[in-house]
Amino acid sequence: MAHDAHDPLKHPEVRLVNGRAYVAAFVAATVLMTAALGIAMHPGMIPHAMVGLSAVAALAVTIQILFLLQLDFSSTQIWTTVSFLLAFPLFVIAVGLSLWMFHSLDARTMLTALMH
Amino acid sequence: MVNVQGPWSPILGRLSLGAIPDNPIIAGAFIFSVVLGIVVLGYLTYADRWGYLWREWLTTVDHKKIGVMYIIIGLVMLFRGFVDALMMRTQQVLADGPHSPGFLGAAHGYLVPYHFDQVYSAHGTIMILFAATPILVGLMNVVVPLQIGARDMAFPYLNALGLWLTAVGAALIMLSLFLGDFSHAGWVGLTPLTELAYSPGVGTDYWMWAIQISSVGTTLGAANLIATIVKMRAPGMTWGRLPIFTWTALSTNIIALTSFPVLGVALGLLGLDRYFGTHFFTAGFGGNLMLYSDLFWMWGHPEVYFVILPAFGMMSEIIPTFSEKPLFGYVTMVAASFAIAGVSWSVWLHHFFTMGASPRVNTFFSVATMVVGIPTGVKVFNWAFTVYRGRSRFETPMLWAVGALFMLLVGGLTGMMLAMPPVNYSVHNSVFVVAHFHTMLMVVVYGILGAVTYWFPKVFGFRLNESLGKRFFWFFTAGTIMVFIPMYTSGFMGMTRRLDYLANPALLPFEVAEELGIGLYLVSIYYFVRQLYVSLRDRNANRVSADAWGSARTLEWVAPSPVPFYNFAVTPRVHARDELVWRREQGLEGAVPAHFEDIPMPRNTAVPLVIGALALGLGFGLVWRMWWLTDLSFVAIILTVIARSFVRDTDYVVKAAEVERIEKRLRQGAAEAARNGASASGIDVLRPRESSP
Ligand code: HEM
Ligand SMILES: [Cu+2]
Repeated sequence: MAHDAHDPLKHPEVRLVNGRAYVAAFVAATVLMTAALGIAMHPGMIPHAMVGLSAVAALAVTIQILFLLQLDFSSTQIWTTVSFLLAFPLFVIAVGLSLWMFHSLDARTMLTALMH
Repeated sequence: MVNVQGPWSPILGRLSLGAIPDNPIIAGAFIFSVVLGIVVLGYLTYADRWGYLWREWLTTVDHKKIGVMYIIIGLVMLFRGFVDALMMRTQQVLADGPHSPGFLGAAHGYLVPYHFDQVYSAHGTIMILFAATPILVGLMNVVVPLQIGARDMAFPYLNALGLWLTAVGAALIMLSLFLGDFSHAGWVGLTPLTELAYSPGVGTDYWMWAIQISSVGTTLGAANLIATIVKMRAPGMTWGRLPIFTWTALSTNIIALTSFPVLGVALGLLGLDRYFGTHFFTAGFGGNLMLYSDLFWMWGHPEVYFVILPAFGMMSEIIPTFSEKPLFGYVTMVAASFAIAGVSWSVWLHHFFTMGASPRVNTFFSVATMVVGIPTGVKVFNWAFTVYRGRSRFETPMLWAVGALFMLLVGGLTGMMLAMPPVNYSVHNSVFVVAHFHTMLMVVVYGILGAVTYWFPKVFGFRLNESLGKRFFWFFTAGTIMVFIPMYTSGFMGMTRRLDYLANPALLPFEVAEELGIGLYLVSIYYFVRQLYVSLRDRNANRVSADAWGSARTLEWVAPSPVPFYNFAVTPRVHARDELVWRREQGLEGAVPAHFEDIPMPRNTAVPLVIGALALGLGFGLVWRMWWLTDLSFVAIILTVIARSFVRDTDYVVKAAEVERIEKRLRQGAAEAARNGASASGIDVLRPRESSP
C-alpha cells in the first residue's frame, strides 16, 4: 500500500466513476420499475404477466451491472465480477431449496389454508 | 403506517414515564450502571484523560485499537449475557414443582414469565451477536493485517464505522433494560409472536433494530476484511503462505458477506409488518410465518459457522506454536475451512426439521448437515497430528485450544445426532439442543480466550499472568462440565427449552448441579478479572520481545511487541509459510532494516463516531416511533457521509527519521524497558503514543 495508495482519487476503482452512465442507469431503472409496477397492477395488460415481469427484472439487473456497477473482466474489476458470478450458485441454493420445501409444505401443514 | 396501542405524542413518540420499569432487579442494575458510569467518568476527568480517550481511541482508525475496542464491547456484553444466564439458572432451580416458593410477585421462583422471557431472548441475542461476533471481528481486525504484513485494513474509515455501528446495537440493548422492555420472542424472533398483534410493545423493536443496525456494521467489516486479505498482502505473501487464521478469516467473512443480507431482509420484512401493516409473516391475510423461519435460518446457520471458523483458525495458530511443530496438513486445513463454509449454505433447514417438510426434503438437509462432519473431522485429525510427537507446552493459550478440541468433539457428535430427523423429532426444542449449541459455542469461547491470551502480548507488549490464567481455565472448564452434562441429560428426559417453571420435580437434581456449575463460572470470572488486574500491575516484569512465546511461527511475531501504530517499519518480504521460523533458521531473527522510509498513514477522524451517534438516534427514534428524531438522524447520516466524501486530507506521513527513532526505542527490548521503568511505544493502554497525527 506504500505507493500512492493514500490518494483515493488515484484508485482505479474510483476512476471508474462516470456521471453519464449513472444517470442512464437511473433513468432506465426508473422506467423499467414503472413498467413492472404497471404489469403488476394490470396483469391482463400483456399475455404472460409473470414472464414479462421476469424479463423486465432481468433487463433492469443487466443495466445496473453494466452501467452502475460497471462489472467487466478488466484487472480492476475482475475480483468484483467473479464474486458477483459466484453469488449465483448461492442464489440457486437459497431460492431453489426454499421453493422445493415450500412446494409441498402448504399441503402438508395446511397452515396457509387456516390463516385466512 | 400502523397505529399502535397506547398513548403517542409527536415529540416523545411512545415514550413516557411509564416506560421506566419498576422492578427491584432492574433498579439494582440501574444503580450499578450509574455508579460504574460515575466512577469511569470521574476517573477520566480526574486523571485528565478525556483528550487521550478522544485522540487515541474514539477517533482512531488504527486497526489494532479498533480491534481492541470491539473486544472490550464484546467482553462487556459477555458479562451482561452471563448475568442473564445466572438469572435463568437461578429461576429454574427455584421454580421446580408445584410446591416451589415464589418471590418478587412470581408464582414460582423470582421471575415472572414476562421477565423470564426477556432474559432468555436478551441472553441469546447478546451472546451470539454482541459478544461472540464483536470479539471475533475484533480479533480478526487486530491479527489479520499483522499476519499479512499490511499497515492497516484496506478501508480504515469503514472499519471504524463498523465498530461504532456495532456499539450502537449493543447500546440499544442496554437501553432497553432501563427504558421500555426487550423482546420476549427468543433470540430467533419466533413468528408470529414478533408481530405487532402479539408483541405490541417496544421490546421486539429494540431487538429488531439492534440487530439490524449492528449487522450493517458486521457486513461492512466483512467486505473490509475480504478486501484487506485479497489486496493488501505483503510481497511474497502468496496464497500458499497465508497463515491459517487469515484463511479462516477469509472464509468466515465470505459467509458473513453473503448471509447477513438475508437477515437484513428478514428483519426488514418484519419491520414492514410492524410499521406499515404489511403481511409478510402474519398469521392470516396471506402471511406466511414459515417463510420467516426459512429466511432467519438461511442466515442463522451460516452465522454459527461464521463464529466457529475463526475459532478453528485460532486453534490452528496456537496448537503449532505450543507443539513447536508446523501445522499438520496446511492444504487440507484450508480446503476444510472452505468446504465448511460452502456446505454451510445448504443445511439451514435442520433447524426446523419438525416444521413438516416432506421426508425427501428433510433427508436432503440431513445428509447435507452430516457432510459438514467430514471437513470438521479432517481438522480434528490435523490438530491431533500436530500435537503428536511435538514438544507440547501447556501454557494458558494451549490449554484453551486443547479444551476447545474436546468441546468440538462433544458438540459435533451431538450435532450429528440432531441432524437425523427421527432423533430430532424427539429432542427438538428440548434443552438437549441448548446443550448442543452451547458446547459448540464453547469451542468459540475457548478459542477466543486462548486467542486473547495468545495475541495479548503482541498488542500490549506484556504477557498475561500464567497461574491466574490457568485457574481461570480450570474453573471455567469445571463450570462447563457441571452446567452442560446435566443439561444434556435433562434434555433427554424431555425437558423443553425456555421454561420459567418446571412441572417435573425429578429434574431438580440437574438444576441444582447446573446452578453449582454457574457458580464455578462465577469464580472463574473472578480469576479472569484478577488476572487482568495483576498482569496490568506487574506489566513491567512481563515484557516480551517480538516473539512473545519463544516458539511463535507466523509473520505477526516478526513485528515488535507492542506493535507500533504503523505495524512494520518496512513492509516485510515473505519467504515461507512460517515466516518467523524461516527467519530463525536463516539467523535473521531480530534483523533490522538497513534504512527507513516515510510511511503514509490514515488520519484520525470523528466521522464514524458521529455517524454512530446518529444511528443511535435513528434506532432509538424507530423503537419509540419518534418520527422527528428518525427523520433528522437519517438525513444527518446521509449528509455526513456526503460531507466526508469531500474531505481530501485523510492521510499524513510519518517521516523516516521518526520511524527510525521509534524502532530504536522498541529494540531496546523488554528487559531494558523493564529496568528503567519506561513503557515502550505502540498502543500501550496506559500511555498515549508519542506521535499523534
Ligand atoms: C457438525 C456440525 C454441526 C451439526 C451437525 C449441527 C446440527 C444441529 C442441528 C440438527 C440443530 C437443530 C436442532 C433442533 O433445533 O432440533 C442445531 C442447532 C443449533 N446449532 Fe448446531 N450443528 C453443528 C455445528 C454447530 C456449530 C459449529 C454451532 C455454533 C458455533 C452450532 C450452533 C447451533 C445453534 C445456535 C443451534 C440452535 C439454535 C436455536 O434453535 O436457538 N451448531 N445444530
Ligand atoms: Cu445449523
